[in-house]
Parts: sequence; C-alpha cells; structure tokens
Amino acid sequence: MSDTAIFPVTLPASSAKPVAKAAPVTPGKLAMWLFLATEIMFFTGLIGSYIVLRAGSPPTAYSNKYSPNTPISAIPNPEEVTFHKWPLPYDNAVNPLSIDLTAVNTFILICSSVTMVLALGAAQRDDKKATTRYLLMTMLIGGTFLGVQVFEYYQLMFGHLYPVGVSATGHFRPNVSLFASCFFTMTGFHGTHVAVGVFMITCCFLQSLRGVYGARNFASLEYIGLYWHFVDLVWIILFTVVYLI
Amino acid sequence: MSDHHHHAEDHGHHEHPHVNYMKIFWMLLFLTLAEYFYAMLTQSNFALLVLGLMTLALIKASLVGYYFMHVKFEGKWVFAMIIPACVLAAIAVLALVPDIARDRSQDELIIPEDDSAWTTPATDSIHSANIFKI
Repeated sequence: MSDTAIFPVTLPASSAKPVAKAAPVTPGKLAMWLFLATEIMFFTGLIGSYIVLRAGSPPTAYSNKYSPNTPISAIPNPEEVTFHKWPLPYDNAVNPLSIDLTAVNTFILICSSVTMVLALGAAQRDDKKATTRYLLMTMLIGGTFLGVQVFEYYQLMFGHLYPVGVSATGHFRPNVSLFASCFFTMTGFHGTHVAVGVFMITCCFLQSLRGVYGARNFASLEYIGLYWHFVDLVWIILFTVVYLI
Repeated sequence: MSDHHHHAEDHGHHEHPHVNYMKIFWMLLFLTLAEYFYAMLTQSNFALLVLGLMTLALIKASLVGYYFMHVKFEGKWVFAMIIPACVLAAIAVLALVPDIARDRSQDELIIPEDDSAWTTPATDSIHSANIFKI
C-alpha cells in the first residue's frame, strides 16, 4: 500500500523537504550532563552524611589528652581535658590535616581546570599544537594533584606519629575515628574521580598527538572537560567542608 | 573522528563567546587565598566561619560552572539537568535533619539487672525496648 493511500495530502512544493529544527544540544553533551547530575547526587549524599555524623557527634568525642571516643566515665580528670565535638581546623592536638598543603593542592587543581578549558578553546580555533600543549599541561597538573594527595595519605597513615587526641595508635587511618573514616571516604572518592579524569585526559593527549582535535572535531574534548571541571568544582566544596570548617 | 561527530557539532554546538579565562583564574586564586586567611581569622566564631567560607566556596563553584563548564552560554536545557539534581540532593540532606536533631549524648544507658535483654532482645520486646531510654 502506498503512502498516498493512507495520507492523501498533497504538500506544496516549498514544504516537500521539511527542515528539521536543530536540537539545542548534542546527545553526547546531554548524556554527560545527565551523568554529572547523578554525580551531584552522589557527592551530596557523601557531604550530607558527613554533616549528619558531625552534627550528631557527642560533645566529648575528641579531646587533647585521650584518643577519640574515649568514654567520659573512663577519664579520671575531665576538668583538665579540653573536649571537642569534632576536630577543629588548625588544632594539631586533634586534627592532623595540613591546610597549607591542601590549599596549594586546591590551587593546583584550579590551574588544571584553566589549562583544560584553554585546550578546548585551542581546539575550537583549530590550533592543534596549542591543544596538545594544554592537554599535556592538564595531564601533568592533574597528576601532580594526585601525587600530592598520595603523599598526604602516606604521611597521615604511615609517615607521621600524631598525638593521642588524633589517634590511639599515632597513625591517622580510616578506622581510628569517625572523622578519619569520613575524611578518607570523601577525599578517596574524589581522588578516584581525579584518577579517572587524568586517565581520560591522557587518552585525549595521545589522540591530540595524532592531530585528531580541531575546529570540526572537539566534542569528546568538551565532554571530558565538563567532567574535569565538575571534579574541580566538587573539590572546592570538599576543601571548604572537610579542611576549613 | 567520525562523521557522526561532525554532524552532532553542526547541529548542537553553539560557538561560545570569547571568555577571558585568565581573569576567571585570578578571581579563583584570589578567592582561594581569601578562604585560607578567612578560615585562619574566624576560627573562634563557628557561625561566621561557616557562613563566610560557604559563601566564598559557592562563588568559586559558580565561577567554575558558569565559565569553565560554559553553563552561562548553554540553553535553558542545562538547568533542566542541574536544578532537579540539586533540589533532590537538598531534599535528601534535609531528610537527614531529624538524625542531626537527635542528641545521642543525652541517651541514658540503662543496664538491665539480669542478662536477658542482651542475650534475647528479639524475643523479649519489653526488655529490648527499654535498653535505651530516650
């Protein structure tokens, strides 16, 4: 059966070839944004749990003279002890985190976000050399962030001996306190995201060496850039919530 | 790259206006330094610390989102991705607020005179319900 038998409509000549309205977004970019929406939920879940655990922590959970969560009944001279609900920043007796080091690392990650967006801009201008150069810089700077985080983890878990208010064993490991498990969970998941990002940027860099990216082909670079900036954005929040507050 | 990508870019990509990314970078650097010193100076006042630092962090996050992620130059569709996720995430956190309000330090542990409540909590509902007096 022919189409005219079903729809016996004669179209005017001008509309014989209907023009499709361009979609406002490519499927790839839409998929990446949907993925990022799930990531927003994921990290909010982590940060929300952290807020609940911190707010619900007993006022005597941390002290300058006893290990975390020592029962108040087991402390013979509580009036001589300074108690905390949660380890405060800059208080070395209960908080082992280095704000100076992490502030520098935050700056490093911001730098990598800038080089990533410059790589995309170079690709859009069809400047293949600059694209490769900026991608290499992003890869190296992202790797530096990871390296600093690995160094920080090593110092916390093995390299340093901390006061008893930080940990009964002297090492800051995920099992020593609620603060430690929250810290390693949040920064660990973020670090994993950074590692995945560095891997993808390395793949982009290898592709750029072959001259793949240019003014007509930068979609994958844009999608990976979105992911990378999101990871940077999450770190800005995590740095504030975990380290500074 | 494949023709598919060319096609996708032709129909879906909007040329972004020129952005001075270095200017955004310097703003982010300035805000990071501001956070660092603000945290140092307002340690004694927790409310001021949280309010100031979260404001600075949200400004920084907005700069990254608006300019680096090009949210400013995308269509309205991008907010259909961001806003529901943020609203649902906020609801998820708010749903946890009752757990925050409950001050566990005020829970009084009542130790039963015999061991029955500890050994058979599931079979003796009266004992198991009275272990913690809230």
